Amino acid sequence: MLAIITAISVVFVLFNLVTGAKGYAVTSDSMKDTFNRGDVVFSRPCNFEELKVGDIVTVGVADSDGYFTHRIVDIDSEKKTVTTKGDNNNSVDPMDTASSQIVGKVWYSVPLLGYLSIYLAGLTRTTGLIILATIAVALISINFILEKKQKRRDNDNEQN
Amino acid sequence: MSKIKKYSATVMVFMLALCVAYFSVMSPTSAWYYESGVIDSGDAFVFGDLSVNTKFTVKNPVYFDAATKLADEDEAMFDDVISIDSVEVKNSGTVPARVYVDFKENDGKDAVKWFVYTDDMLVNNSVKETIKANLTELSDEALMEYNVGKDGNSGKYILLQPNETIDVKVATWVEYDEVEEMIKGGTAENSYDVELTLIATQDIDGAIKR
Repeated sequence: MLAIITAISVVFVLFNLVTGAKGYAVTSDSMKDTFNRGDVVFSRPCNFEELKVGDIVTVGVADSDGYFTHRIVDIDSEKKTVTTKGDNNNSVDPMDTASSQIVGKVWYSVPLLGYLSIYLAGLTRTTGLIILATIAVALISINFILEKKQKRRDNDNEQN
Repeated sequence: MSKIKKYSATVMVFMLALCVAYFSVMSPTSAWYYESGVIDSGDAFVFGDLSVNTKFTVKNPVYFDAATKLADEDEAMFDDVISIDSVEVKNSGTVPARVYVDFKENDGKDAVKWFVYTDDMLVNNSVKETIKANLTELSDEALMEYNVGKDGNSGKYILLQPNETIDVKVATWVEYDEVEEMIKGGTAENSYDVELTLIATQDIDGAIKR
């Protein structure tokens, strides 16, 4: 069981690292129905020329380490800017986005995975490490219990 | 064999913990979105930290004693006949915010024009002088570009630092060549049903670390 979960997780992480996809945890409802709070969107770097209206891009905010992920509703090829809008918003975003601010085009999303990041973001590093250690111990314990049960079942079968 | 199994379990747990750590440090992505509806009904618009854009709407009639014309250079009574709405706006949050203003005449009468400003922008204590100083030309197009921007979504905004309070003022008037005879002659007052909307957003787009 543990082996399966670990294998899936490792393959998933390696897949993203190899393909250059970076995950962002969705924390608001501006793209509701397309992405919900708690989803993780994976974006890959792209050239400005590849972008088209309808694509969803992740934008890095100048002078901040924040990001937003919205749909392109207009492209100005001359100025190299895009106009973005959240699917759940009433109007387009107040400012156009320069091509240099686009960190990637959304490739795919995974529901719920982002809650891990959302909840842990509010914790200190020490608390985060304690939680990780607890998870690790819990996993080892679960694995140990499952193995013991399996062993007992095997012994019972042998005796019968 | 059991030793190998034991070690492999530890390695697996370690790798799984690394994966969990990878998923835990993903950057948050959040952005502009509007909280819809009227959130207050007084003359003060107070908002806090903006994880959402908050919207404040005031619906009230405005009265005009006479019509005027912005583009008329000889119109000396402009400042006397305009109506001025003032809304006290307070940023009670911890991040800088900008407040955009939108204005709507509910019967769709284009004759009602508007201009958003703050007292510190006033030129010679005159709204007309202030409008002149802020518009490229005295036309409807230039006025709209100033108020709401070319794309209808990037016009004049008032920047508020945390804990700052500013009176946001909106001057409204009716243009004499676009209204009915009654008010055109200045013989009777006329009222218009208007809706003033203020939208507070983060000064910088995207997520803000608090």
